[in-house]
Amino acid sequence: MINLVALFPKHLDLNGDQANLKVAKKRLEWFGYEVKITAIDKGQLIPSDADFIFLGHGSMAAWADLENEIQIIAPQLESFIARGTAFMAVASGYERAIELGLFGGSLEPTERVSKFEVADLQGREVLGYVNASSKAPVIQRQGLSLGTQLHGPVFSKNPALVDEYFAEILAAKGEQVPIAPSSGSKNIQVISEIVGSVWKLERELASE
Amino acid sequence: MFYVPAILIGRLVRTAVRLVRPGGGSALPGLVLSKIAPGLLAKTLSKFPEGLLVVTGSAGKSTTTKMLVAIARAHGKVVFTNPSTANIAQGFFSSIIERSTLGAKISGDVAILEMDEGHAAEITKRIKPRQVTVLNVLDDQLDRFIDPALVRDKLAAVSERATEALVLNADDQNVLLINKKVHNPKTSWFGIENQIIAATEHGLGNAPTYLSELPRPQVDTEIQEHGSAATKARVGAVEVSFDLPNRGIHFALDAAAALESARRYLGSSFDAKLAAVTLAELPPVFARGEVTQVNGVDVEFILVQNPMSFQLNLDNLPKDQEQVMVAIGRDVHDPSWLWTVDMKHMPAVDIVTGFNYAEIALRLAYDEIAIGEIIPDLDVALEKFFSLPAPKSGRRTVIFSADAMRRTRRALGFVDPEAVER
Repeated sequence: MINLVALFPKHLDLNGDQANLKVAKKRLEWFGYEVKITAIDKGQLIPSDADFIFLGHGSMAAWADLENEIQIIAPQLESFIARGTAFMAVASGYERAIELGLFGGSLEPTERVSKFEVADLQGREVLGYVNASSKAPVIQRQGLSLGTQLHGPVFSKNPALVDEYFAEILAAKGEQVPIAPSSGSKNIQVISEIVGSVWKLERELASE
Repeated sequence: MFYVPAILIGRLVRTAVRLVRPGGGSALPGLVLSKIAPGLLAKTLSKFPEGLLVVTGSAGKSTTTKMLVAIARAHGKVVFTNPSTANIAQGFFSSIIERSTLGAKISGDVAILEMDEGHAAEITKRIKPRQVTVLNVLDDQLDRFIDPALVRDKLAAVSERATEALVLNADDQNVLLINKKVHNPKTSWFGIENQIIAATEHGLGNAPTYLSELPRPQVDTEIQEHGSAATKARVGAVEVSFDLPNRGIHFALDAAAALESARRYLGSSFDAKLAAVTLAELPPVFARGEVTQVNGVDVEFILVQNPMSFQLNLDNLPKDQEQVMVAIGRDVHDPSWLWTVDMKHMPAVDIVTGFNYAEIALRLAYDEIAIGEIIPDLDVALEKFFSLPAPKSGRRTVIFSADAMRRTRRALGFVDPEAVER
């Protein structure tokens, strides 16, 4: 069983960011894995069997409400990351993670950008939507930690990134990584075709 | 006479656009006019003897405005209003081109305008509204507005400028926060009996404030019973009943807002029974549950503009729905919000189309909702969809965003909403 852990999902889903977990779960299931999503709400701690921890994007009001929770959970999160547990943070969650020292980069203010963006992640192009006003790198990897300004369901339109990233997570966990999907091959193929269309349009919009 | 050349230029641009695209609406004439004579809007709107009434908030502006205008007209008022798609600055300038004299005067007792929450804050800096109605704050258009708290600030600024009456929604904590900030002594409230809201699957979809709940104020106009259409309300001290032209709790909220807004504006001449009859006789706003015939088959058009309207419309979709087309157009700048909608009530979709066809197809595909066909070109999709054999169960349904709606109307030869006078 692969345990995908969502930190405060009721608070941090402003742009459909929690859909990243849905996408990861679906794809892993289509590759034949058993997957669960565990929601961590206020007052709860990260479970010890977490394989992937996700910090989404929230409103100013949501972050104000979570301030104490973040202080409580930050040291725990840090020790999970130090032990090699995969961690992903998007948009304001990524900015909060930078503040906590979990990623490099600066949060110096800059003019707000609200647009599609094709960003570079270690030689791979990643497509998403950015709406931010800080100078943090658009996307970065540190070990199994993935941080990005690309908000919302960035996994949905970057399936190759998801598959390779989770292959690394599974390998680190000592699981055998399947080469081909099992039951969900039709879904994977359908999505692959649609993603091609999404890229065609949004790459063009990103260059405007 | 200062504005005569500007209005003439605006009319010229309008004529040129109509020559190029017959029957099609365009923001261009209004845009041109707004650039060459930015002061014209305040000048025109300040000439109505009974002033300006503004309806604003994230969702429900068109329906509420239409209801309020109808009630005011039923009471004998001559009303200037804006078409539902022209609720931003260029749209107001387009309306001036359509309706004003060369001296920038539009006849009428009062202007009742729906205003986009961003533009309302700007426009009311220059002309103080007599009355402001604030509907709600949703997680909506975040690519523009960034955060619901910033929308709340804009609406508070508009609320502060109401000189005679401020009409607020008692069932949105964001609006209660606006009231706390503004403290306008001329405030009154509308709402829906809370058990009715509690019985819905997704509530009213207001942006959460994550603060201790502020107590609900005493409500002046309240929806007390609401079936699929049959509605009972208390307006001031008077109880009324009427059937709403559209289904769904959000239309009941709009009706409450319109009734309270009319009660405040019309004062002692307000007749609650006449208002209720007016609401019952209203035709549905296009694409808010209106049923139209295309190729001899009933079609329901459903406009989805934000997570709430998508969600509430999906929740209200008949269970035996058989034929569905989904068209998401260019107005959806950042399609991320499509992923905040719970799609569990979405039936199998026959055709996916519109500028953002790939994004909505991706959304549906990850939920493993069957898609018959993906057709990028909206015109081709419309032709194919309306050529299908009539459905055996349920009603043929088109779910579309605002841009796809405008293009669909044009393709089907319906009157362009920007040319419609309400």
